[in-house]
Amino acid sequence: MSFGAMAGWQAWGLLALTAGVMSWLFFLKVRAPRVHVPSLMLWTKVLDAEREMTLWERIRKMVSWLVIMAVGVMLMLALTRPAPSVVAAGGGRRLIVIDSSWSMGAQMPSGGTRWRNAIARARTLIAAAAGDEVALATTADGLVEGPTTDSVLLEAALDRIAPAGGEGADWPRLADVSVVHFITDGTIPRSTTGLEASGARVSLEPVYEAAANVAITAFETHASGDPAVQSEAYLELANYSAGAQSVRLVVTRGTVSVADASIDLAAGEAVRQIVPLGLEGDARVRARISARENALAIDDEAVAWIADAEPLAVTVVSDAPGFLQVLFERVPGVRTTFVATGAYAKARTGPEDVLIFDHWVPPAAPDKPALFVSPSSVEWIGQLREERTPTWTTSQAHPVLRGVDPSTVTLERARAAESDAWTPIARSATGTPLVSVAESLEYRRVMLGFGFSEAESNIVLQPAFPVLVVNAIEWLARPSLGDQVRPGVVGLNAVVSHLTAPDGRQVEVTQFGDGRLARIMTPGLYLAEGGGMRSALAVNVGDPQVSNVARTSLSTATLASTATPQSNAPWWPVLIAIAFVFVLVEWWTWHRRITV
Amino acid sequence: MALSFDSDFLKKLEYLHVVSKKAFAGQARADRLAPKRGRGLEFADTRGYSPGDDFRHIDWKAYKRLGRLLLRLFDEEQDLPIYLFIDVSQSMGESEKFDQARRVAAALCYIGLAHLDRVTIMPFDETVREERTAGQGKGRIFRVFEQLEEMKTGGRTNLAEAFKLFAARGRRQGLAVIISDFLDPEGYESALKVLQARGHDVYVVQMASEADRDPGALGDVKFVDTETGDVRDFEVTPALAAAYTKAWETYTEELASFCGRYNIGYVRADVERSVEEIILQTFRQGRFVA
Repeated sequence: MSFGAMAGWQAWGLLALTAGVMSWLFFLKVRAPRVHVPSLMLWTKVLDAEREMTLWERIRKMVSWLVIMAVGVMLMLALTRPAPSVVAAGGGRRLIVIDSSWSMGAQMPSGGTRWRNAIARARTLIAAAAGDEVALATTADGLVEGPTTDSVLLEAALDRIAPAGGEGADWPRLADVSVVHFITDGTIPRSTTGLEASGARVSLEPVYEAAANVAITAFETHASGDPAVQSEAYLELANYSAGAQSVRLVVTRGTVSVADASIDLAAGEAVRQIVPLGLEGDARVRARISARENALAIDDEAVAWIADAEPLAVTVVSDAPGFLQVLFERVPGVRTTFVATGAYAKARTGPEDVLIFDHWVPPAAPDKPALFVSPSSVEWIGQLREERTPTWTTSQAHPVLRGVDPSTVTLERARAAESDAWTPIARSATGTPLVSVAESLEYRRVMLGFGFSEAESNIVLQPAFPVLVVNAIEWLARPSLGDQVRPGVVGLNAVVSHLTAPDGRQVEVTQFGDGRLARIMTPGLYLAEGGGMRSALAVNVGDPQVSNVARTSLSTATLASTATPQSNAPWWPVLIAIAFVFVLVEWWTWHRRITV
Repeated sequence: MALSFDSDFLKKLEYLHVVSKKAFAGQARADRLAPKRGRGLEFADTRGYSPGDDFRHIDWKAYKRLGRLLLRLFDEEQDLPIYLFIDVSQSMGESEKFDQARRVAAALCYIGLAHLDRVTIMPFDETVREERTAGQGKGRIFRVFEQLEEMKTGGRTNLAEAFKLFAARGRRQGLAVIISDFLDPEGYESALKVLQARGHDVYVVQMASEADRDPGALGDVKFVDTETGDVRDFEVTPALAAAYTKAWETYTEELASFCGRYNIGYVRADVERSVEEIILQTFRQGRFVA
């Protein structure tokens, strides 16, 4: 037996003290009540006849004393929060690692979730290790608490943690660990070789119980080959059950339902569905499934974001926007406004997503994503460098240059700014920047070092012209935030400064190297902002390995070790109940004058 | 406590009379046969005439037949002196016990008064307090009630001292009824012998209550003697409580046995029983009243 509230020697000491105190109280002469009697004559006569206690009286008194002691000891024992010893004694630092995969949230046929059982198991282990240092970790969060002997801290940490993915995360590291308890359902296989290599003994604590589940294992939207449809959603549904199930699928675009169907899935069957989304509508697309036997909720919903569902607002600041005007008349999904350079005022805050400055640069830097074409000289943009008949020789792999063939472009004159803020992604043979980008948390800019007139280049006659301009606008207004983002620690574009959860909560974004990281706990559509752009990040579980909660990677022997699980129920209510029964027995026997 | 009896009970009491095993000389004419010949109506005997005898009682028919002067004798019917000793010591202070004692005394008084007996109420503790003569005739019963109601308990019990004091007063022989719990550390034997030695016909009425028979409390108890104020600590176990109950029963049996041995009438009047039951059943069964 171990004690959760204190060290073993303290608990035993307390119990011994209690037994002593209860005995002292039992034999203590309490202030007797005064009873008036007509005469002491007969009492004196009775007392004068010396009387020995019979054996039965001695036994009754002894039983009464034992019961009184037991009551006190039971109550004190309840305070020490005893628990069965579940691990071999031996001391040393212990590490409890809880598998925080999403599959741990699966509802079990016997009731409760795997996670709840894992927490209960962890509590038992913490109680059993009283006196030893214990550290608590999860596969997603790493070390959460400890090492410490304070079980209250560990209990508080258990209340804080929740399933959070972390399937590919490294094992938490802790020095001088003698035993590692890994509480897992085995749905996501993990090798414990790394732990064992550190010299620690690894004890697998399975919380697996087979459960039936249906899941959306893939969901995305893309442009349709059919111009009448424009975009469509692709989704995969799977039935991880032992029997066939009827699954109801509902797909909505914004608030409009675009599909509502019942799909019969055989045991273990996965189906793929293409759902046309229509020409117009909301950018938010949501798919939801429901079924009779469905253990895991997190994989029942998937979201997607149709980036081009809403037109881009582009403002062109130019005194001669001829070629751009012709171009944007032919580019779908772009709403263009033309402004003369003299009419542009920095203070204006229009609805535009992207600004294009043609052969002119405002005196103050714009606060929105901007494309500068053959910029003029202003102080904030940097030192200008010019070159006659430059040759486009080097290009970096960058979204702005995707699909641009520099060999088709002949340049007559180049003029571009050079400063630390700009990063050239295309240069001439002599090093003059031809295409540069600049991005930070506050701004996002592209600079073309050549114009579109015949005197400057032949690009308007080449396919590279629309590709380059549209690439730049897309990169400025709709930077890629990544595909198939899953809950957990998510790498974000470096320009993202704010991330807003579906419930309006701000998700903390931290710098990590050149990129940024955010810890996303729940699936859904997250709004990403930064550098003047706004975009949505679709986060879905979409992982067959997570959703297939009917199987486990744990060996039969490991699972058999829990065939006769120890009860996780706390002992203290039982002790209180026993004490209460003893009090009742003592009270009853006292009133029955069996023991006095 | 207001003493009163319903009319039915009083009617029944009027048919009863106190039985005395002896005949005592009374002071006034009544309806109880006196030990001496007198001027009653019932013919008893004849004797020879002596000068000075009332010649109105000479039996002239016998003189004509026998030639001798014989005097006709008649039974004398006088009252019976009844002394009602009521224990007013503190041990009787338990209200139910003392009330019961006064009810029994009142009932006996009424029986005596109804038969023109001379009833004297004598409260006592370690001495005989102010004695009160009830008089004769059942009309005096209300006066008796008042006297009984005025009685208060207090003092210690000392039967021997009280009865010696009574005996020293040289009262006429009569019926001595002692109503008490007999919880006297000095004992009751000598006291009862004193009364009997003075020629009284003694009757004992032992008052008993549940508190006397059963200690009631268990565990550590501090018992306080209501008479002496003495305090003693007891750890009352069930066995000790049983021993006490047994001791009390033994004490009661010894009292009854003593009374039987010395031809003293004994009746036990438990508080839990009604006074009607005690008088009409127990006292009659004990040949105390008839």
